[in-house]
Amino acid sequence: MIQLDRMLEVLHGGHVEFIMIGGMAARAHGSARITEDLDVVYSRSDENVPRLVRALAPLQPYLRGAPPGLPFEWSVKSVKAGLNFTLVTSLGSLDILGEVVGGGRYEDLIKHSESVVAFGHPTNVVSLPWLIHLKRSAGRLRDFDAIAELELLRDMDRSKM
Amino acid sequence: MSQSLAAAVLTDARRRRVVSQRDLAEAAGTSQSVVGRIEAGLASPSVDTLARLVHAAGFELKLSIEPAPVVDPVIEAYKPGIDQTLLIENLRRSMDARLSANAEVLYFTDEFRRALKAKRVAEGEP
Repeated sequence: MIQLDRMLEVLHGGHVEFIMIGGMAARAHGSARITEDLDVVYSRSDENVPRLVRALAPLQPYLRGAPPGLPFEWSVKSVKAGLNFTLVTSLGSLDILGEVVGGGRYEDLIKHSESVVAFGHPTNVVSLPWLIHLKRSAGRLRDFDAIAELELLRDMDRSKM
Repeated sequence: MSQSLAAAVLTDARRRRVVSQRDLAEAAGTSQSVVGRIEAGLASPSVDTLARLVHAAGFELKLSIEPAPVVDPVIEAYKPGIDQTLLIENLRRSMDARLSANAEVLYFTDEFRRALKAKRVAEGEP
């Protein structure tokens, strides 16, 4: 479960550079599916990683599904040593991805994103064609239904043109 | 560049600027017939020419790549089962409203989960 409004406030308040992808981006593009987590691609620049770490630290991020007590430290060093993290925080589940299959890194994907106002914050959301592309590239069986829905949304959008 | 794509791009730029073909042509240093032929899909301009015309309309021509639509029979098989009325309803809302609706559903789902758990505890279920 994610408290999206508060999570966006935290990320924007910390000036974190990120792009919304996954189910929440699908929702923004019109999907009828309810999603319980937030997936973002974050910039791994030397400026942004410390911002990300500072912003999320009060939310006590921990590796989702991992047994309690692992020696996991939420720090710039940990984020730089890793790439993609599936986290549980006090505001809900958050996946922070340094790179995604088919979309690359933040700097690659930002060109294929649009800025929308979400809960009062201008937020980068991956475009619908690229969201479909990312889901296809991920190659997960459970995404077939979601891809079909996104393609219908894309076709509805085109038919308006 | 394909004739139909160039026509769509130039027509869109000119109409957004609300200028005539003649005025646009003059601003770009060309003739009205050149603009007319491109917009009618009768000419395929170079990228440079189209960029110049679009610039004269006050816009910048940017090229980018988009994923090509792929027809996958497996994905196609899922489509008839999707309730499009829900999608149409969602498309009538702003993106912000769609995300807010998601948050509201999560809030109520959480409340129901809590209530169910409390009921089970009260009934002495594990």
